[in-house]
Amino acid sequence: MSDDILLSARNIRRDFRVSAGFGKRARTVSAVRGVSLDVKKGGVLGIVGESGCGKSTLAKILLGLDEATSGEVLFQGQTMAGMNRKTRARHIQPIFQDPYLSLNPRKRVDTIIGLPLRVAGVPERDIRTRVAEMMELTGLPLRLAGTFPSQMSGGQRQRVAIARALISRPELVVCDEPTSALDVSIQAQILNLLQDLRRELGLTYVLISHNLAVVEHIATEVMVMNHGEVVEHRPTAELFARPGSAYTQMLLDSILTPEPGKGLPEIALTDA
Amino acid sequence: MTATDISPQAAPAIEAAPRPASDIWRRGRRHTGLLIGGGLVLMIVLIALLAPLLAPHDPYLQDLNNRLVSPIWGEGGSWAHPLGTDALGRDYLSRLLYGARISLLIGFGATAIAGVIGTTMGVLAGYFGGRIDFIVSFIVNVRLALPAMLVALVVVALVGGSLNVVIWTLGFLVWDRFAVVMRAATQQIRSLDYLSAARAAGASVGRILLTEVMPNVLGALIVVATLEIAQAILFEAALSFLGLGVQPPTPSWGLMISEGKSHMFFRPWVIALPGAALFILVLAINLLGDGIRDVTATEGRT
Repeated sequence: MSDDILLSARNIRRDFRVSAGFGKRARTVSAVRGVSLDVKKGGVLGIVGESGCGKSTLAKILLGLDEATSGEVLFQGQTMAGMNRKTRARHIQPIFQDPYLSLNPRKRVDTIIGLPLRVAGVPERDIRTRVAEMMELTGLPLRLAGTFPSQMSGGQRQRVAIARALISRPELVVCDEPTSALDVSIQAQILNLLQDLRRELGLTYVLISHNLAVVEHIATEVMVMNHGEVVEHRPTAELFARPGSAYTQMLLDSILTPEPGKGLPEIALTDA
Repeated sequence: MTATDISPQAAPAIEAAPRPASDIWRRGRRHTGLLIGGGLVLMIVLIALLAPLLAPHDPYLQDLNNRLVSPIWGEGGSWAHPLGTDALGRDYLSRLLYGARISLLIGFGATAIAGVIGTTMGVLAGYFGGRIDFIVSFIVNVRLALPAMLVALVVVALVGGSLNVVIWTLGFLVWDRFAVVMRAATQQIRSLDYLSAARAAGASVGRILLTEVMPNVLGALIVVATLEIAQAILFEAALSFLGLGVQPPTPSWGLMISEGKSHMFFRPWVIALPGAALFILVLAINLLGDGIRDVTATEGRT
């Protein structure tokens, strides 16, 4: 395996046992069925597919928040299963969909952003300077440091979530629908911020989205998922120009904008 | 996908969103029940603390020449004993003032013990779910199936009644509501993304429970605690009335009612006074708890 592969997943499978009720036999539902992927260093892997196709489950497994039923995740060639939680946290960080749910409502912004450093045992004085740095980098005015998430706008909250994810300088950031809970006008700002930060800090992203316009905008490679399986995995431009499967074609057809790539429309794929 | 698909995700966010402190303060000042309850509790706490300064007599000093003197509004009452004396000639007002100490001590002591036990079990069950939840639920059910009064009577009868024994016994008996409420409150937030974010940041389970979960279930904890304090105080009064709680000559309100019961037909005040004191304290604590719930609860649930 070449050196420029940061993260790879081998044959990931995740089954959930669903109880049908008392006395009935539990059913097994497979959310992810044998997915393999490679994320190149400095690249952006977009994972698309409709709701319920296993994108978020896969993201949780990549983050180490959920365990795969079978298969393994390798980070820089090392298996993640044996990795200590603090080591893993230094390499991989998440950005979640809804900043109204991903920030603790009882904590002030500076405490939220500083959490990964506090967990890592960084001295309090250094945490304060690095939080200030990070707030500046993510476009948050310093006067917001002492406020609670409830006093901020959606866009500001997502900036806080981004600042928290990046403060420990991870190599890989897994963004699970980072813009779909935001206003359309804010979505572009957040995406541009993510792009700028990637260039500035040399980050690698796994970007999960059902919004193809978002993926086309920033992903270098796209993986299409359906029913827990990989439908296709190709460079972005190639995939958008010549979709390799009927399912991908269907996804592309459901984009509502007249000119794909010009705007950032909110596509409700599952409603179609 | 319809609106109902979205609501389970949206609901906890709204519920979990705290009001700014100033907002709670503003609502609190307009809440009559909270003000009355809080004022009365504060007053009784002050009385308990300042009992040695406020009491006109030694609550333990017997004066057999002045037994069962009426309060000032009764026949033969005087300012020497504003609320009369008991069957052993002890000043009733002084005993009532000192009795506030016992009631509050037991109320707060037993609730603190119960709170630690119940909250630990409830939060663990709510956070981990699965097997731990099953075990905790089983223990809670066992506890609920036990008649608390009977267990308390047996323990006190075996070990002997004293203030400490009563506090520990009650503490080990009234934790069930803490466990049930904390479990439900924790379940509500366990799958929210800020806990996932803390996990992804490498935080230990202990840190997540203490710094991420606890601040968000504290409101419910305070409300349960106030209710349990009232419960424990009544429990102590009942135990003492049965002669198995706090032992004489300690001035406990329940014990005073018990000691006065043979005189209740001719001198009803000997049980009416400690009874009224208990009533006021329990009412005040309940008003305070209801008030805190109203002020900190979400919109539309007042």
